[in-house]
Amino acid sequence: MSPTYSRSPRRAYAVVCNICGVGFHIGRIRVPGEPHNAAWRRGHLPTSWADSYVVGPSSCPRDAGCVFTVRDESSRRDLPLDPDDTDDEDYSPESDTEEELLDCDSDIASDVENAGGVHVEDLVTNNQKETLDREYLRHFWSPVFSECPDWPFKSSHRVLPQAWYTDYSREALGYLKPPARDHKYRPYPTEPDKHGYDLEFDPTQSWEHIAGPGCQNEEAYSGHEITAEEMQGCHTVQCLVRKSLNREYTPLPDDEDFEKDGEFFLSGLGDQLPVRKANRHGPYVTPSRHGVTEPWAANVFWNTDQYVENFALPFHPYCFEVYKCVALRADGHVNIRTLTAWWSLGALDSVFKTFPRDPNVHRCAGAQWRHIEGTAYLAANPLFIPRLKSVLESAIDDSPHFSPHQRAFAPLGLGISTNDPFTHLPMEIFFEILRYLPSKDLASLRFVTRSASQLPISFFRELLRRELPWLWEIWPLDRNPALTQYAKWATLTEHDAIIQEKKERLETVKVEDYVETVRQELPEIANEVRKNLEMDLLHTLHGDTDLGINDAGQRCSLPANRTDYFRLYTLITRHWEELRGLRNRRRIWEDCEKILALVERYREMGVVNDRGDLLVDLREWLREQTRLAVERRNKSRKESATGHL
Amino acid sequence: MAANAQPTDAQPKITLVSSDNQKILVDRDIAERSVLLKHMIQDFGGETPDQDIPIHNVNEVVLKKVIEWCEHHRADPPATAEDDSDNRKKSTDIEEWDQKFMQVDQEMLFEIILAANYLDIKPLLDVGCKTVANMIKGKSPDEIRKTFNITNDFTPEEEDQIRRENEWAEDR
Repeated sequence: MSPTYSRSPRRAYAVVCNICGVGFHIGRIRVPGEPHNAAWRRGHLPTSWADSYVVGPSSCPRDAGCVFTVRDESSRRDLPLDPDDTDDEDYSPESDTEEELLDCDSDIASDVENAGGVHVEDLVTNNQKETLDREYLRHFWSPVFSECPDWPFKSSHRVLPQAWYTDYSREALGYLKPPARDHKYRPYPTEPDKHGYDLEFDPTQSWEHIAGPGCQNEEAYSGHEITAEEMQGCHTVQCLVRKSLNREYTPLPDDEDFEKDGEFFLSGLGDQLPVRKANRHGPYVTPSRHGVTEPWAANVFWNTDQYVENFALPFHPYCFEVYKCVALRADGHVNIRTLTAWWSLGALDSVFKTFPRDPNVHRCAGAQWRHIEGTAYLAANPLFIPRLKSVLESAIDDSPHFSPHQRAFAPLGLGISTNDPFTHLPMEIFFEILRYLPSKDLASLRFVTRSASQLPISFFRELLRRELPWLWEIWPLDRNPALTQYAKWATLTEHDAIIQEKKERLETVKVEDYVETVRQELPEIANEVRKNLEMDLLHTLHGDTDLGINDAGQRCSLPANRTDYFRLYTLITRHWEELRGLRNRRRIWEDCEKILALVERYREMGVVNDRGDLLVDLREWLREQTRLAVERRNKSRKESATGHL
Repeated sequence: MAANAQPTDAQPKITLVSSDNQKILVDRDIAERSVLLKHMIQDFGGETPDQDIPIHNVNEVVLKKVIEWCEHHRADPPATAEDDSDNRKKSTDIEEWDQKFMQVDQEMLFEIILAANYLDIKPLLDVGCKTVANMIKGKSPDEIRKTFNITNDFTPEEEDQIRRENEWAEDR
C-alpha cells in the first residue's frame, strides 16, 4: 500500500508566511507613554478596543520594570476609530478608576513601606493624588533599582528611560499603575532566585502588561524592542490562489501582470490567520478578489490527495515584494511560477520544516509564536523602515562641489615604506584586487598600504551593491522602472482594505443616487453621466489612496550622482540595531535566494521546466517524497538503535 | 586539458623576444591567448608573422611562465562578458591547476600580474588578482604586513583616523 503523504497533525499548528517562515500571530506590549493601540495580543490587531491589549502576569524577572494597568473604558479615546464609527457613548473621561486603584489595603501598604519607605495614605484632592501617584511609583520601584547592581542595563537599546524612576509625564501617568493593595501584590518574591510576579489578578477586571526595559514576556514583543510603526503589516496575510478554483477567470482592473496569464491570482488581505488543526479554514480576506473570501492557506498539504489544487500559498505582502526584487535581480523578470513550484513541491511537513532559515525563526516557531527577546526584527516591515528614511536622506549631498569620484576619506601623509608591492601596481589592477575583498578585509588592508587608505566614494557604491544587494534604494531606477512603486497590497492591512471597501461602497451609492436623479430629470444624458462618473470614481478610489502604511507605496530611491555612498554605508552600520526592517529584509532576501536556488536544482533534476511549470504529477511527487522521508527516518532510527547496542 | 597543450608541428609558430632579448618560439594559438598579441598578428593581415615580436615589458622567466599558463589554457572557451559583474559577490575560487601555478614567490606573482595586464590576458590577470586577494582575506593588518613583508609606516594618529573611518566595516 502506498503511504499517503503528511498525515494530519495531532496538535494545532500555525500557518506561517511560506516565504519567510514567520507566523502572522505577533503581539506587542506597549511601553509607558504609548497609546493603547500600540499594544495588541497575538492574533489580534488593535482595531477594536477589546483586542488592543496584552493581558496577564509574565515570566519577566522581578527587576524587569514591568507594571500592570487596569484597562478602563476611558482608554477608548486613544484608538484610531473607524472613520464611520462615531459611536462614542461609552467614553467617559472622568473615570474614577484611579481612585479605586489607589485605595490600597493595609497588607500591601506595609509591604510598600518596607520596600520603599513610603506609606500611601488617604488621598484627598486630584492634584495631590497625581503627586502621590508619582511618589508611589517612584518608591515602588526604587528598591528594585538599588538592589540590582546591573541596573540600568548596559546595552544601548535597553537603557532605562528617566521617566521610570524620576518622574512621569502626565500622559504616561494615565496608563501606569502598579498593582494596588487590594490585588494582593507581593513585589519581591521571598526566594531570591524566583522569577515572575506573584500577583493575584482581580478576574473581574482586564489587566494589561506594560513592558519594563527588561520585559521577557514571550506572548508579545516588548515595546522597548520594536516600535509599533515598524511592525506594520506583520499580521497581514495574502495568498496566491490557483485559478482552477474559479471556472471562469475574469481579469480585474488591478490584476498584476502575472495574474493575467499565470496559473495563480492574488487573494485579498487577511489580518487574522487562525491557528488550527484542520486544513480547510483559511483566513477571511478583504476584498474577495475573484470571489475568494477564504483561501485555504497552507504550508503543508495535509493528508488530502483529492484537494491539492485547492490550497493557496500564504505570505506577508511585504515578503512578496522582496521576492519580486530578488527574482528581478536574478532573472531580469519576476517569475511567480518559480515561487509556486517551490511551494507545492515542498508542501510536506518534513520538507517545509527543514527549509534552511535564520535560526531565530526556528527558535520562535511553534503552535504559538514565541516572542523571544532579541528576535523582534523578525516582525519588522522590510519595505517601510522608519529609521532608514532619515539615513538615506543624510547620505544625499547637495553641495555643488560634490562628486562620487571624490575621495571617501580624509587625506593621509605620504609615508616612507618602500617595500610595499601594492604601490607598484597600476591603480586599475589594485582596484581589481580590492573588488574581491569584503569590507572587513578592506578595512584591515587600509592599515597596511597607503594605496588602500584612500578610496573614491563610487567604490562604496559597488561595495554596497555587492554586500548589501537587498538595499534596492540604491538600484538604478532607469533600468527597472517597474520598481518605483510597491504593489498596493504591501501598503495595506486588511483593516485598511475594509475601510477602503466601505468608502468604495459609500461613493458608489452616491453615484447611483446622482445618476438616478439625472435619469428622472434628463433621461437622455443619464448613461453618459454614469459612464463619466464611474471613471472618476475609479480614479478616486484606486488612484492615490491615502490609507495604509505609507504614502501610496512610493519607494525611496537615491540619486546616484548626489549620494555619498561611503557615508551611507557608515550610517547603515552605525544604526544597524535600529534598522530592524532592513535586517529583516536581508533575512527574507536570503530566504528568497534559497528558494530560487532550490528551484534551479529542481530544473536540473527535470522536475520543473525553464518556465517553472511542474513536469511531474504533484500527488505522486509528494507521495514519493513522503516515502523517502519515512525511509530516511527508519534508517536513522535503526542506526541509532544499533549504536546503542 | 594538459594533453591538448602539447605543441604540434602543424601549428604555425611565432617568435617572441623578451625584454632581456631571449627568443621564445610559441604556437600561434597560444600566443593569441594574449589580446595584445592577437591584435598585433591581425595587423600583419592575418598571416602568421615571420619576424620576431618584441615584448618589451616582460623578461624571459616571466614570459615563459605566462606562456606555460597559456599552453595549459589554450583550449579554454573565450571568456564571456559578465554583465553587471561589478554588482555581484565575486568568488575567489581558483581551479586547482591555477592554484599550483600561482605558488611562486611574491615578486614573481606581481610580475605575472603585470605581464598579464600588459599582454591583456584577462583570465590570467583574474587568477593573479584572486591569488593576491586570497592572501589578504581573513587576516589582521599585522598578518597582512607579514605576508607581503611590508613595514608599518603609519603614525599612531593616522591609525586612529583609519580606525574611525573604518566604522562602515564593523559587524552588522
